[in-house]
Amino acid sequence: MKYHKAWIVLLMLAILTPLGIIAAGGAWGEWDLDGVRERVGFVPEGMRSSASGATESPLEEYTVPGLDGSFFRKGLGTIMTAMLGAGVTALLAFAVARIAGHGRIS
Amino acid sequence: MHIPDGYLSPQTAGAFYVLTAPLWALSLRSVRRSLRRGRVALLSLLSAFSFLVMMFNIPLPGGTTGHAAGGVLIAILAGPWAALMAVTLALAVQALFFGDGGILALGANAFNIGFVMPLAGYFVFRLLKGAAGPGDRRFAIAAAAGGYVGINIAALLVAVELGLQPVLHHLPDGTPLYAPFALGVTIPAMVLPHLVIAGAAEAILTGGVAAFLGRYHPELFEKGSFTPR
Repeated sequence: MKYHKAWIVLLMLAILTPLGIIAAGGAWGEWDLDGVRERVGFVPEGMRSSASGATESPLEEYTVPGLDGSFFRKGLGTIMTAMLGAGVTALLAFAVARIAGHGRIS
Repeated sequence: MHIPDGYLSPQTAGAFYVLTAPLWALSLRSVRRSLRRGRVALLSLLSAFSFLVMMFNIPLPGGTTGHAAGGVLIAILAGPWAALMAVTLALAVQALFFGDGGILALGANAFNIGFVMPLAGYFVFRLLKGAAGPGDRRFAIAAAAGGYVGINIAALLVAVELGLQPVLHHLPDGTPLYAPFALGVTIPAMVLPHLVIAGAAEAILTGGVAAFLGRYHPELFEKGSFTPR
């Protein structure tokens, strides 16, 4: 495999991702509808109708259903979503390159 | 910095798809070129890297969190067009699988984090690098400065996009229809924490990896290998 050392670094990054859920609070301007109501006092009309919610993913916010409660269990879910997400992203890149290159893969 | 769905009006979100579409096409063309040079594995690697880096949330002043995005580093390694592709793929997976960002907002998010941030950072890097080669201190500092400038410009851009929504779309009585805060709120809320903390994180990431790779793998930066000509 090309760049095998770099792939190992990525694997290590994935294992370290629970460090990323220690920080309290979320990103500014990325609240869900309840968060908006809390800060604005109401939910803007257009936001309510077009916000996601109807199509909520089971892995919302990098959590795995059932893996919650302790930091350890939550962290395990984070690592699983990190590996899944990074893996799918890497495969997508290969797929795009294959389409772009009409099947020639190096 | 990932704008979720619902924060931008459908018109704004659509406009960003229209704006970003030709950039994606150019990016795809560059990917096709890099393919001939056997760099598909690198594109794949950098896409996964972008996804992972954005999972490391750090606390910001004001009780919120932020993260580095890695776009400038990717641009330094593989060029701004490859960075757009890598970051777009990461953003798409984040939106589709993990509810981070949005599907309607993907055009805007790709423009902010995948196009403007890497391009601005790459420009600063090239400007400051001068004749410095990989492994030189100036090379790493230029990379760090690129990361710092890139993420801050992107943060400002997001703040402007969010802050313009209540101006563009409101009820006759002024009640906002989408993102509710005005520019006077969004700009300090987005930009100040990025100037202080998230920008530093991006600078350390970009400068640190560029320094390490410049020292131990300078061949990565040789003409014709990675950086686009």
